[in-house]
Amino acid sequence: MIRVNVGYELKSLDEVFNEVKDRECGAVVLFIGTARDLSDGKEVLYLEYEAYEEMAKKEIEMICEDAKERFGLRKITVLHKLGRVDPEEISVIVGVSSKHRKEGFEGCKYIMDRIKERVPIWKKEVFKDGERWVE
Amino acid sequence: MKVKVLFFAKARDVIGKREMYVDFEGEKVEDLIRHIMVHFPKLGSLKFSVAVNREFVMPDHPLKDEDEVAIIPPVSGG
Repeated sequence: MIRVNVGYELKSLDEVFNEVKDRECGAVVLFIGTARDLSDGKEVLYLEYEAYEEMAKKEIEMICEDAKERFGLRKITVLHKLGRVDPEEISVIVGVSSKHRKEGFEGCKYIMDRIKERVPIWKKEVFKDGERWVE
Repeated sequence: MKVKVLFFAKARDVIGKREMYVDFEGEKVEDLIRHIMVHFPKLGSLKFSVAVNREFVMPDHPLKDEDEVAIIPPVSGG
């Protein structure tokens, strides 16, 4: 089972855990990406995310299918927030379940790495005196 | 040929629009990009990929009327 949502509003982390946990699995790995308050030594007020939503969802689904196959993952949930994200707040969550922890860790990392590499989502850092798109 | 072109992030800032219909002479993605660059030379200073109907394509990808073309600057999700 794969669920991808770009532009979500997360209610609680339990929501993701409950969705991916599985009787046949000994491991659930959750990666939680949060906003930092410093970028190259400059104070970041907040981040602003935008996406080509339809394509981003489709691309993440393809990455998940690939990871599921490659690492034998059982269930996968990926949620990516859009709009404003303040420091410490969550911008992305990748949750996977697998029989053993090794595939879980590797699969989760693989999904996150591919998202950063090719999914059309953009992050803007907003500073006191300006802003810039992260590349 | 007439296609819909979407601009995101830095590309949208440079062009000043999120989307527009573009009528141009040619058949391929590279013809369209050349046409856009004539009107918006600033786009030439940006690195970007192109997606057609939500799939990444190469510059020689053929276009047809009503295709949705997206200008995709370097991504930074996560």
